[in-house]
Amino acid sequence: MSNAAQPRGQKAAPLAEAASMARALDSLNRILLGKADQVRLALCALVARGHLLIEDGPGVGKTILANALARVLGLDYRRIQFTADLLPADITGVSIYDAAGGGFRFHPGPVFAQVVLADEINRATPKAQSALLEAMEESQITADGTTHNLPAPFFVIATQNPRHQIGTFPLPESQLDRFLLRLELGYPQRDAERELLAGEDRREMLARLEPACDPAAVQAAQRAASRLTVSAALLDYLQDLLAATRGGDFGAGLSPRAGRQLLAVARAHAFLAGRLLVLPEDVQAVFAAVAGHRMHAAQGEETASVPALRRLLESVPVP
Amino acid sequence: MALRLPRAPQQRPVAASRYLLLAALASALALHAGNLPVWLLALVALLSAWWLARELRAWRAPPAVLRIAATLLMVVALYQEYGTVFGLHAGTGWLTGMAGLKFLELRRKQRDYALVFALVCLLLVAAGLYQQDLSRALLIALVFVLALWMLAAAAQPDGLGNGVALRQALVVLVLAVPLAATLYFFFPRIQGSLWGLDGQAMFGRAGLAERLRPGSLSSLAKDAAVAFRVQFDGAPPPPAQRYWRVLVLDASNGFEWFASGRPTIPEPVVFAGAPVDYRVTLEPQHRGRLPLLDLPAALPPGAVAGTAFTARDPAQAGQRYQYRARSWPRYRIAGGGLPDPQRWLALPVDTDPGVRALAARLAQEAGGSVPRFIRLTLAHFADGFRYTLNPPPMRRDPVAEFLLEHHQGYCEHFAAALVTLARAAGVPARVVVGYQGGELNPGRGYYLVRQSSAHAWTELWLAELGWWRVDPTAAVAPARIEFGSEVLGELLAAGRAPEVDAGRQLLGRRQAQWLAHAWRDARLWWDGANHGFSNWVTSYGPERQLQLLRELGMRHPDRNALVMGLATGVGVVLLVLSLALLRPANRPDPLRRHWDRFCTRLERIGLARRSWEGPLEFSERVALARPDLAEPVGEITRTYIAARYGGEDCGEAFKNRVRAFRSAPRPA
Repeated sequence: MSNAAQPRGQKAAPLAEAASMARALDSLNRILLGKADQVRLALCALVARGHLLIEDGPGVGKTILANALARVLGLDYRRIQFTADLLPADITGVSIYDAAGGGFRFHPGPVFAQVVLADEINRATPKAQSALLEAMEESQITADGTTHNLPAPFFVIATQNPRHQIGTFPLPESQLDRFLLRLELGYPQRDAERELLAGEDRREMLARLEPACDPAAVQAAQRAASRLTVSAALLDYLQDLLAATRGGDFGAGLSPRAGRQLLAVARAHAFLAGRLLVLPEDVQAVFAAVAGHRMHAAQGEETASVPALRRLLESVPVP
Repeated sequence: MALRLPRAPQQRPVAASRYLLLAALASALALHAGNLPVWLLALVALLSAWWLARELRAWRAPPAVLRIAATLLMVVALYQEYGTVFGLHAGTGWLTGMAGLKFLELRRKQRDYALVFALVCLLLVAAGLYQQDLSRALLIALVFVLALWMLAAAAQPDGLGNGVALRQALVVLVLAVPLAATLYFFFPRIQGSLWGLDGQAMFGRAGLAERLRPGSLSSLAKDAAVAFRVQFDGAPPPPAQRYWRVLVLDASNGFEWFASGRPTIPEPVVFAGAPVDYRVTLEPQHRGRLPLLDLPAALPPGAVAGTAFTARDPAQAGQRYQYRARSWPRYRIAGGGLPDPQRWLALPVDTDPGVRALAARLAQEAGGSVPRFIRLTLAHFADGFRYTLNPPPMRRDPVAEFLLEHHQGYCEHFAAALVTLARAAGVPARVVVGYQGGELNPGRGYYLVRQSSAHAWTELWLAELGWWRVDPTAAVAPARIEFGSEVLGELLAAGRAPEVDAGRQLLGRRQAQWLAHAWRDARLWWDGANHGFSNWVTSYGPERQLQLLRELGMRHPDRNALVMGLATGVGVVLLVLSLALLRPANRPDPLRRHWDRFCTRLERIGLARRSWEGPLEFSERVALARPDLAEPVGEITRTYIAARYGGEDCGEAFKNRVRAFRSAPRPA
């Protein structure tokens, strides 16, 4: 989206944070080719202080995205491969008796990182899944009666393969709700793939990648985004949209919490576009990613399809 | 138009609507007070009081058995009273009875209130059939507003002020007026009266009696009701020539004078001077007699000739009627031989000998000269006879009692006495009854003739001159002829001689009394308004409509085209109104309206904004499609976004930008 239509009266301060985010976005787009929308949405989730669920097969760049995001933003990064025998402690960490210190000492698990990639989250048992989800919800870990704060910012990118569900534990609806956004990366376009094939190895590029900002800048961006102006007209539109999800083709509409989250992501989206006010376009741009995993088609267990969501958007006039 | 009509759902009408209901029905019945039997009014009052008590005390409604019994009783009673269900009187009675019965089962439901509203409306229509002047129309309108208010109040949810309901009622009324007026004036008028009620003797006043007997005119002396109004085309004739001829009476039975009904041989007439053209608007009266200024040249169209230059139109009896006529104030009837002289000389055989003796004495003094006889007789009247509005009762032989005993009477006595004396003296004579005078309405330029101007005078046969008008009243009370019966009445009441000088003095004093003057002006103004009302509303018939259409420039008004045009016009108006009503009540704010205008403007060049499309996306699409418009569109969109989504106040800037964009040159 171009910045041609920057509104007047922009104040300078939030623009600084937006600029560092714009630089981060540029770097990410150089690594992940032809995935501008998804990359932007992923960053939106981060700026909106939410977590991201990517549903896609292997090899489409999930790990690269997570890793690149962490590097570009100057955050530390851990990856947890979820397997059927993964235990909660493997995620959160364990308390081990320390002979030298004379007591139990907590050894933080891989979840104690600013960006955590939870790969194939549906492979693990619900117990292990919920350990991560609780951490996501509370931003802290309680082990042996002691509370350990997770680092800030804390951003989880979970992936699951929807096409390979045998022997898996699909996330229930209530757990899906913990993820602010759900994305599908999908196959690259032909010219993007050509560039990918012709170009150098992504992992090497990743290793050379310079951070565009630091954790403090990310947190500043998060604060700035949450303060963006939301007008009554936009709230009207948002409410119309929410009302439209609660009837018609869909079995379950968006909850009030989902509405708040939709607004938060829309703010982040506007912020990333360098705007100080939120437009209906922002809501529309993030709507499918926010609403897709929270809504069901009226028939069957299927979550709402992208075309159905598009039709829904087009049924609600912008006031 | 953000108009909200009363909503349909059945809500409990608010408490105040109960009182409004009673007030509306009571005032509708008050308009009928004279037409309804007392027992019926009392019964309705009783039933409504019982209903109000039930409502206030939350008593239970009477059981169905009682209601049915009451209905049957009412039917029997009404049938006893009227013997029919048809006709205006009976219909009003039945309506009133039904309204009274409604109180037995009137609940606080909107439907019930709507029914009472309909009953009140029917009663008002009936009230309009009884009487049709302006004051009545205003009263009917007032009661209608009250009923409408009641209906609106009943439709209000609890807790809303009654002022809201009244405003609603008035708004509805005002909105309905243009449509009603259009239909009233332009829907083709049908010749004849409403519902074939014409000719019913119950409408209008008796007016002049067909027979002249003691009291038949003096009873009208204080009747200020309008008989007719006259608009002269040119200068009006002087008061002494304003004799309005209605009846000519040729026969007497000793007690009263009447028209024998014998066919009149047309009397040749010679006119002199200039004719007077005028238009008479006759108030409804029973017999369709048409007053004509002495002496009419021709009868109004449709009229039937009566005895000696009188006319009547039976088809117009009982309704307000307008006609044009032409008269010559200076005339001479039938010089030469009198055909059928016995007819004008006949007297009852039992005519008092004293009267005959008086006639003989006067004739002897006159020495055979008729003019001398007339002069002597009038002198006899002027000497010792008193003109009074309250003559003593005369039971047996009014002429003899008047001439020989009381020596006082009203114009009817003088006229009857003069004709009797003339005939007894062998001079052919006849009584003419009509109106004399007329009061100018200065504001509107017409003359008003009231029933109190009813007058009787005589015509005597002079061999050389033919029929000659002799008004004995002019001899005894000249003020009556010069200034009219009102001034005369005041003079007589003040005990003064009914002379012209005295009348002039009285009028001069009256001019000085500003209050009386203002009161008089107000009365004349009111009569003028009434005249206009009758012209444009009550007597608005096919001719009047045709005239209006011609004045509006329709050369050949066509009934069918008129109906079609009205139907189409009314349909379009109703369609537009319903569309306006169906539109959401919240009108878009100015910002939104200008934005919509901007979008419409782009739509015309094929770049329609899709309803779900946000402003930014739309402007980018426009910029892609039409790079030449990118700058103004971007500018407008930025302003709009800042104002609508950023809460900035763009003031007039946005509007002006959109305006400027509208006037931007079209793409080549």
